[in-house]
Amino acid sequence: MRRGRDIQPVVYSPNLDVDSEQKLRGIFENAIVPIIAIGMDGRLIEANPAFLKLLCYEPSDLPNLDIHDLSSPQDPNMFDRVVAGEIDSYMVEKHYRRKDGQVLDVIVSASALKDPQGRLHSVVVVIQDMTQFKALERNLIEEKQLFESLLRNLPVGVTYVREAKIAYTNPAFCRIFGYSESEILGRSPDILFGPENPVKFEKNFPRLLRSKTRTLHSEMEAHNKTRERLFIEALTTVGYIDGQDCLIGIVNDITARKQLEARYRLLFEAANDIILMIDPEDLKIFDANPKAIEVYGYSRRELLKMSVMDITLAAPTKNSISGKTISETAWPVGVYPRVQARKNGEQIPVEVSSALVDWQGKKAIISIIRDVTEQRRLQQQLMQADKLASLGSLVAGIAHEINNPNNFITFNIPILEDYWKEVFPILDKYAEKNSEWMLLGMTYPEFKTDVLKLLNNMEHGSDRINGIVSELRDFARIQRDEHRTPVDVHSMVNRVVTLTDKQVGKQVSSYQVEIASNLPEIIVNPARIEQMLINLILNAAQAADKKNSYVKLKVMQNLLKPNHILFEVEDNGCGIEEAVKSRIFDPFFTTKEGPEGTGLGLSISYGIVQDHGGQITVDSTPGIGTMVRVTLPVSRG
Amino acid sequence: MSVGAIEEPQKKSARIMVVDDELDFLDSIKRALIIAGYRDICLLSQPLQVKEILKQRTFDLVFIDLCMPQINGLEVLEYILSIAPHTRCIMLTALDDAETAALSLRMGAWDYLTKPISRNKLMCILDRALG
Repeated sequence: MRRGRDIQPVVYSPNLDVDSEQKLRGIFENAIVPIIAIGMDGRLIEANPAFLKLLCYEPSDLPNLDIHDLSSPQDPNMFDRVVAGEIDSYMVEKHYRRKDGQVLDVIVSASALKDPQGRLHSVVVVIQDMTQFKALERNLIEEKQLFESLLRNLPVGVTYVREAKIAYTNPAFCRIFGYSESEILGRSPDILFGPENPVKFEKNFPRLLRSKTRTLHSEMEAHNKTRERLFIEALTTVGYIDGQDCLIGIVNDITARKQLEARYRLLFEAANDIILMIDPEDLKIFDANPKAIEVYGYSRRELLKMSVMDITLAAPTKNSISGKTISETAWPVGVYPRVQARKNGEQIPVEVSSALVDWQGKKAIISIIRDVTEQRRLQQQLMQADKLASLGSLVAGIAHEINNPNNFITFNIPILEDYWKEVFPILDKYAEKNSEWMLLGMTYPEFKTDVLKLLNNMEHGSDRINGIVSELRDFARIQRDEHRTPVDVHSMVNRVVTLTDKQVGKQVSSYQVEIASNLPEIIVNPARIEQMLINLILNAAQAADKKNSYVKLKVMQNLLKPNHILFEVEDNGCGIEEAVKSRIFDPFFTTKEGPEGTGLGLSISYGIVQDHGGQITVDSTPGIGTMVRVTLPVSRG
Repeated sequence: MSVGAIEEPQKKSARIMVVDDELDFLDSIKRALIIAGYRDICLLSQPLQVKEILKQRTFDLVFIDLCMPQINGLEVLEYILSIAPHTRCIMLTALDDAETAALSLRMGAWDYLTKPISRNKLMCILDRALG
């Protein structure tokens, strides 16, 4: 067989010696590759066993086989083009139908055979069976599509990072971070994290690939394209893709969960009530919020070693019914009051609200505990106010009753004096004549002086009763005193200072007044407020017992309460003994001896402040001094 | 020591009535009035008798208590002024209440005084009212 300069057409040579012919036939018959020769009419002239086997034909079928019947009609008809002389050879993917009708994928290589005269007499076709390969290819494509579809639709972000650059992202990943695929591919993963990036991919990439723990699960803070904070849960692992080591990341957006957690955490951390998590079995505390640490004075570590009963005074258990666990009797579910103790031993009244919950698969008691010290104090203040109110009406009645008889004395003593003054000249004359005249053991001049002195004393006594009664009436009237006007605090306080200056100056060595500027006008009964301030200032001055005694009056905006004015009257006097502290606002309570005090001043002041919707508090240390604070609302709400 | 005798007060002709249910107070005021020289003094502890008395005679000035049994001082005031509009009526009461005071003055009272009151103050007001 000789090949021409051009590879085709192959020229059939009848001069082949028998030996060669024999060899060729051997090759043809034994070839694994199916080979056929087709006549110009399309009929198969020759077909080797491999061909017959491939298409399941018998050698006897050969005379009846036509290439047109074997081929699928959809495939391009290249054979006819060879017959027509258009081409000499071709190679094409085709489909052959097997004898049983099944279609095979094949690649055929065909060449025209010509006689020495150059006439076409047959076509030789070599066939390659592609069926298995095609099936494999289809499987691969299907698998690829499956994976792509999975990745595309997965709600979890998937990426891989190669050479420290993002090489692949699925849509969920892009969605989480707010980038489009094209914006993010080829960039460093570091752009997904803020400046406090914990990983630093670019810098640490080689190390990350070598890391011993192949799979890393972490929760991280990241940020999206618009720099909003994100919380992600990331699972990273080292993989091998396209011949290179890479980092595969699976990312979940847990921002919403984190925010929820943070909110609940915040509730716990910032709560203004104590929150304890308690084991219902032994009442051990296993979590405590910062407020608990603040109120109890124990550290967190100390608290977590304690039982709630270590900080709680025994409850009044009237019936410790047998069969009930300690928690049911000592620390039950529900709302109830208890007395607890701080680390320093100080007792605090509290209100407990406990609930039994399932917590991490176990039962737990959540107790919200409120320090009600302040509430109790307010209750006491309220009781004080109540006491004063009922006393007020009583006092008004008594004052009226005392008034009449006392007025009788006040009114008539001057008359009695007049009477005596009518009589004295007569007695004077008698005494002149009887120098030894004694009355009730007294000489006449002594007697006369004493009568006048008695009258004078009675007049004073009765005046003093009038004074007290009038103060009582003042006190009783406070409750129904509704005359209010806007008042400039500056000028009001200045009036008070003018009125008290002289008296305070006599009692203390320094009288200091500080009034903040820009105080708003307050709506009050100015006379009452002045009276109240004067009372407090004179009280403070009277307490003076030291060489460098002082009284300080400060007026300012109340920083703790908006729209309230704070008046502070401070002295470094004798202070108030603990024993009498609770009684200082009671009417008629006085520590002053003699005619100095009626015991109504502070009580009246208290009433005035209450009536204006304000508050009055007293801090005092015996021997050191006293601070009285009055807070008044700018306008009554 | 010289204790000068009180000068014999000038006799005063004003006709004065005091309406008060409290006998002690009537006595007291009577003493003060007599010392001050008034002689025509009518004391009434039963305010309802005002009607009877006013049928027979008139007064220049009347002190009226407010809180009395049977009849309120304001009614007495109203009655007196309806019979004798020129009578000077002074309310004299323990009730220290601005509203009642204002009401009495609107009704025609000449003044509104509150007990306790001293003799001096009472006499001053009286002089002014009659002046």
